[in-house]
Amino acid sequence: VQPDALALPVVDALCASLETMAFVSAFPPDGAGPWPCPPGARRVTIEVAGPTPAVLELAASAAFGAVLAANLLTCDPGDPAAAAGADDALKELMNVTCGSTINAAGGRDFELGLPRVEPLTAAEWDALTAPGGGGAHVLEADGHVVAVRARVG
Amino acid sequence: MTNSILIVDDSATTRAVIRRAVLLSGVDTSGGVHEAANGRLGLEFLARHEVGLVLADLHMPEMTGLEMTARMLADERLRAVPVVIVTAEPDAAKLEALTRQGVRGYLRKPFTPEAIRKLVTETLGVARAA
Repeated sequence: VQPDALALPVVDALCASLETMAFVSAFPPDGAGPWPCPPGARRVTIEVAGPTPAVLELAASAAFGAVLAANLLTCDPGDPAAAAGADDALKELMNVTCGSTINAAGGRDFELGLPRVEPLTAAEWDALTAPGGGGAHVLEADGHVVAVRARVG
Repeated sequence: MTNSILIVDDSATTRAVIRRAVLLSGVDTSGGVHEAANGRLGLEFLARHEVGLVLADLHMPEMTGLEMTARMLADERLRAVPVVIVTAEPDAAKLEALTRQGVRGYLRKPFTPEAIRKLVTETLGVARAA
């Protein structure tokens, strides 16, 4: 797997996972950024071990996690169950996205790690989503900014 | 054969999605649809209850779906219970190998509710005909 081999598959995989899992469509955002750090920003990380190690990262707001959880649980985003399931929904989205990305890149003999979720500071958000700087692809889904990045090696 | 289904996945939202798909599938779940958050907890449930089908994730903390399946195969009471793996595992060769390790079938995430319905219907149909 070449260093940039996962860049496009991870975006396609994220969009397909959002559509299939949660009926959420993602598009390139209006404008060229920068995109301000949303309240309750989260980062989900999955490490992939194998012939070429990789790390896949997803950054989004807790509110977007609640939207995902609400769609998965068929409840209102304001429902306490949606807020409680926000991190879990983001982790599962990244788990599925990671599997589809590696599959699309033709990767074999890889081992997916378990997804980890953590708070993201405004500085980390800015570094990740900086236009042309952080290497993350930025999308807009249901009015929320979502950034995804695959680092190989 | 009991009409009880056990869902084993470390994601609570995924368990809820699978549960809803199973309940909407039209299959007889009069024995209940139950949940466990990893393979170890799944085995604890299986030790105390009769289950007709297990839908399990592959990668989970504490005990994977494959380790759970191996323990079930070593248990005379549990070895006939079909296990279907529902996973994001990307490697097709690894997924194909699962069936040689005692797993009845697999479904790759992301899945649609229709895929769950088809999987449950077919697996239970075969198991009940056996």
